[in-house]
Amino acid sequence: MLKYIIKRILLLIPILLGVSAIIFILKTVTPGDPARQILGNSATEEQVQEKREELGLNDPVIVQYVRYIKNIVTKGDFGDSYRTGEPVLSEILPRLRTSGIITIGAVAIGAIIGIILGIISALKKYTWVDSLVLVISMFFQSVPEFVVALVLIMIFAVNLHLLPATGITSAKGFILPMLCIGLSSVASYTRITRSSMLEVLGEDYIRTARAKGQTENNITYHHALRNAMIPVAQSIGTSLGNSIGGGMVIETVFGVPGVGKYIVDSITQRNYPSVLGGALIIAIVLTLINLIVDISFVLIDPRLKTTIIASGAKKPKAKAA
Amino acid sequence: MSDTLLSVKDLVIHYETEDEVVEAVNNISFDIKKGEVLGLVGETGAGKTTTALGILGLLPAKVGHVIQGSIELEGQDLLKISEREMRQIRGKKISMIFQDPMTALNPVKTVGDQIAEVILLHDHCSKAEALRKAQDMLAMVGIVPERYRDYPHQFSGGMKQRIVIAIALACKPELLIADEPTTALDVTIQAQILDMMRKLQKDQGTSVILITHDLGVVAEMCDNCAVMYGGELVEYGSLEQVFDNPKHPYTRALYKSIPSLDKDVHRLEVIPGLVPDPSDLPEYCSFFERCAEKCPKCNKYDPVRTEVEPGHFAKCLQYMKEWEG
Repeated sequence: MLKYIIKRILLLIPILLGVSAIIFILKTVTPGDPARQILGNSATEEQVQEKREELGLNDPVIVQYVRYIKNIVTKGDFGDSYRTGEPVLSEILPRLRTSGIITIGAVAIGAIIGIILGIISALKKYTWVDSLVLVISMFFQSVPEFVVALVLIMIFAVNLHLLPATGITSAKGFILPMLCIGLSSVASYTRITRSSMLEVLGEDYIRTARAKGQTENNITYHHALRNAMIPVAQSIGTSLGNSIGGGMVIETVFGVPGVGKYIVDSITQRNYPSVLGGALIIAIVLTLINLIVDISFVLIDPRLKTTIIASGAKKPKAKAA
Repeated sequence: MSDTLLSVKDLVIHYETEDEVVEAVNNISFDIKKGEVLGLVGETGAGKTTTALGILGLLPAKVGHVIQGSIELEGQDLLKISEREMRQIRGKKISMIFQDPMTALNPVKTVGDQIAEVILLHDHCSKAEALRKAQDMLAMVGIVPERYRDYPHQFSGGMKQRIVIAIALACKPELLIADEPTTALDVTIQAQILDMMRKLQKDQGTSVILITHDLGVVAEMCDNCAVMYGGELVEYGSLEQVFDNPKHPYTRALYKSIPSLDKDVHRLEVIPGLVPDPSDLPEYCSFFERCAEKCPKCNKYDPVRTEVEPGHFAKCLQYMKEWEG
């Protein structure tokens, strides 16, 4: 198991090298001079040249790239933001925390509602309940997130005065963004759960359980649900990763200082250290999340345990928990 | 008769979908005595499994319907009792071994838990006690009891079928329905499993309905034999009667299609044609199209079950006196 984890973490190295190389290449081919961007239009050509020299922009790209990687490896230094002059890492980490909390909350909301609705519609398949659940979840999926956001702000902030409309000054500020992202993902969880449940309920081992004299409730929750959760867990893993860096729209609407907005702003400002640092840090976080998700699958599906152990080392068979 | 355990009378089961009605089981009747092993033989689609699922009340919801008939277990009609009462019977009085051991076990539960589940449901005991009994069951079917913590994927096909049998026998059922218990296994394992089933059946005095399309298995295991064709019971009798003196043309044709060690045969005989489409059964004898002994009247009348000798029934026009000559 440990070998498996180490192997997965070592895989990060080529991923990070690849991501950083691509962004470095993009940096050289995209128009716009970061030095000019920082100093503004009133600066003289000499000042700009001086700034370029200071930032190391006059060196060949490969030299810049090696220097950048060296700084990360030896000092954990992702460079300084062109805009603020602050280290990129210290700018990103608090934003990552904010985005992380919102993402986890959103995925939890979406998955819990989605799984419950999915089970209901699988058990009541082809009835009006099933159709109603489908319509509701399709509604939240088809309406754009920012519309849901505006409606939520209308209801909870403007009319009921329960939650703040924008900004994160207290824990309350997290609720609306979470709800908004969560609701729009309900549909996909509902549909995955429904189809997975229907498939599992048709399996032979469900018939075996019935032949034992087991009640339908126990069959649904003890036999079917855990098997049906395998594809759902996979999808939770993917969306955890996707929404950490991809919450730009919601972060903008709710004025949340998150990672997505930070990177998009950095791109428009040609603030390459921030873009690069953001991309790399997100890549690291995503890899770790995927690793945790993969390991947690073992808890759901014991068949994977042998696969993971076998891929890690030729250890003697582990005792089943 | 007081020693009759299960009595199936005039059972008709249909599968109804939007497009068609599949007449899976048509008017079959048979009795099983205590301790008897009945072989239910027939081709794929003859209605064997449907009969079994009908007895257990496990026909696919909304699609499968018992149209008429009765299934009496010790005088109690299983078709008239509530789902709750039926659950008390499943696994306790009647249990079933399914065809494919690869898919019959839940992949995310340990085999010990899966055996203990049925014990917990029917014998009122603690979880620990049930798990202990589950280990006893594993030992009984020839698996090291310590492996109760393993998951199904850690066992081979034959071992899985042993576990399925352990689940089926855990509550000492009065009737065991074994639906092609060895079809999915290779031949050497088949023999082991059959030996084990026969031994356990003798020890526990369980009645068994053995569903198979393998006449050899029937010859080895069964007291009585019922042959199904097109959802009907075309021949029924003791093993000796059906094997030594087959009366129905279908049964005779089946024997001719079995390879024999004593006879030097170049080519086995086949029964020409296909099993009739159960959604479109003829009004007359359903074996007519393929029958080697058919007469001109055979496609005009549907024969009824006739007793050709004491305890030996066949459903063929040639034995119905009123049509003779």
